[in-house]
Amino acid sequence: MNDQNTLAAEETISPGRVRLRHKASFPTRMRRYRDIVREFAVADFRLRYHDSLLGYVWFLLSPAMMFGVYYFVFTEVIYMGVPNYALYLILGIISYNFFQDCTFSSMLSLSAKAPIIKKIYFPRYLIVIAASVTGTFSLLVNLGIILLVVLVTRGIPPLFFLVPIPLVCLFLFATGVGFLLAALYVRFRDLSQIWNVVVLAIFWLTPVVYDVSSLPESTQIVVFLNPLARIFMLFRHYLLYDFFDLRFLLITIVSSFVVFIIGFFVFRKYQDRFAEHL
Amino acid sequence: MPNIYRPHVIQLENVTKVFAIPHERKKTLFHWLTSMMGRHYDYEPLYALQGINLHVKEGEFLGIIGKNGSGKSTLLKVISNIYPPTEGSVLVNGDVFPMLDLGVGFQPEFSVKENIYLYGIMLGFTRKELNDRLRSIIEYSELERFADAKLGTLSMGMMLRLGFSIAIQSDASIFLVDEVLAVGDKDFWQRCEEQFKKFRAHGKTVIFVSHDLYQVQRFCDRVVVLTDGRIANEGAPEKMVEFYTNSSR
Repeated sequence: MNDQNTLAAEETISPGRVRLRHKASFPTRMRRYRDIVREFAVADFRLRYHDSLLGYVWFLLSPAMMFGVYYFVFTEVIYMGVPNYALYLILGIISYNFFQDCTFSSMLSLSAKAPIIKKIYFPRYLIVIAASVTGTFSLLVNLGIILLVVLVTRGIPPLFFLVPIPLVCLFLFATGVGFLLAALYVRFRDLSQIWNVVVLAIFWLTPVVYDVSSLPESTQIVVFLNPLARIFMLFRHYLLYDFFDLRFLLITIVSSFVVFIIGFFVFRKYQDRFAEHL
Repeated sequence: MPNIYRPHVIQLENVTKVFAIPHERKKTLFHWLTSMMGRHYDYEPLYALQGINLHVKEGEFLGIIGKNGSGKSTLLKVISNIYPPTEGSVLVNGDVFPMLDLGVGFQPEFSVKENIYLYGIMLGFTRKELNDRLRSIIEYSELERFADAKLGTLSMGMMLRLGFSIAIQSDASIFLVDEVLAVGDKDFWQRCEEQFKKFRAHGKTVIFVSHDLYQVQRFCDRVVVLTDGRIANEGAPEKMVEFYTNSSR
């Protein structure tokens, strides 16, 4: 620091730091951030489906086709013996699809917005959150259709009102993982290939097509350590089996939160450097 | 208020910005792993800014001139928090509005109106603020007839005008203007001039980067000459323009 430093003593800040004193109040900034997330999420959703009806139909069609394949295999070829298997399977598939879609679009979101990142400042984590919100639109539509089917076939399940909890957990977990991937992808562009394989492993390590009770005891523990598996099971507990376990629920909520928080802080630590590395 | 009593709104103390320019660009984990096993991570430091001390007062029009690659744009990006400084401190008191590239992030697929919201919100407006300003933005950009047309059908000049019309709606107190504005035609420059006069009337602080020495002399109160990331000289516009023309000869 030079001698004509006019900063007051308490304002002297460590080297390499920027301090912005915003004129806008905290609530105003929060409103701006909310608007940025909404604008990005809606724009990405529209761009992805080209604003066309056929485009919107596609995101319904791809889980439906996946469902068709697995349903055929696991009822006609290998019998799973899971009660209510069709709904069990489709719930697993749409939740898994959301996770896959969300992590991939979060990972690629920063490089897709590179020109903006290099020219305009706003907190970069908004981009990743927006990517997750875009994925949530499709999840909500898909889930809505399944809820209708559940209502028609089973009536209103008694634990119906708890469904938003696993939904929020799923969002937090996928966004947390998305934060980590997005931050890493800026430096390592082959991460998308690696993640392709990991996501496939996650598919089989998570009870999407099978039921946990069909596994040997020792393997079950591995599945229970996986927050994603817990979230999928919660959906099924509440919608299909009317089963409630408080301890199971709390562990799931806490683990999803922890993943989100870790992802967020790791991302925030590196977000200042993204403009240079993109 | 006389100039000397005005508070500083931007204070840069000993700011240095170093970019690591890798000899071999490692963009993948695979590259990184192989280089870990073999040679060391190999890069060359590029000093984009070196020991910059700069204080800007409220309501001041500061011009920055210098050759290509002298660090002008990096300086604006450090002030607008896009790049963190490697060393030194930056203090900015007030909301900064960087006009570094007008219309970055425009979506040609969307209509003009939709782009006003998309771009405006990125720049820091809320949706509500844009609702109130939509009419004046469209009027000022003279795009009434095209409000619902796809942005992609507009000419470059029209897009520039649109970006500018959105940007000037900002309530920010500090504006950073990069030379990109120079791509506009004569008509566009007239608008910029009008706007600069308004900025001055409203007591806004402006940092203006340009290669157009005539414009710099006309608008700025003070000019900084950058050479290889250092402040080579600073002072009254006429003297600095003279200094710059002589030194670059």
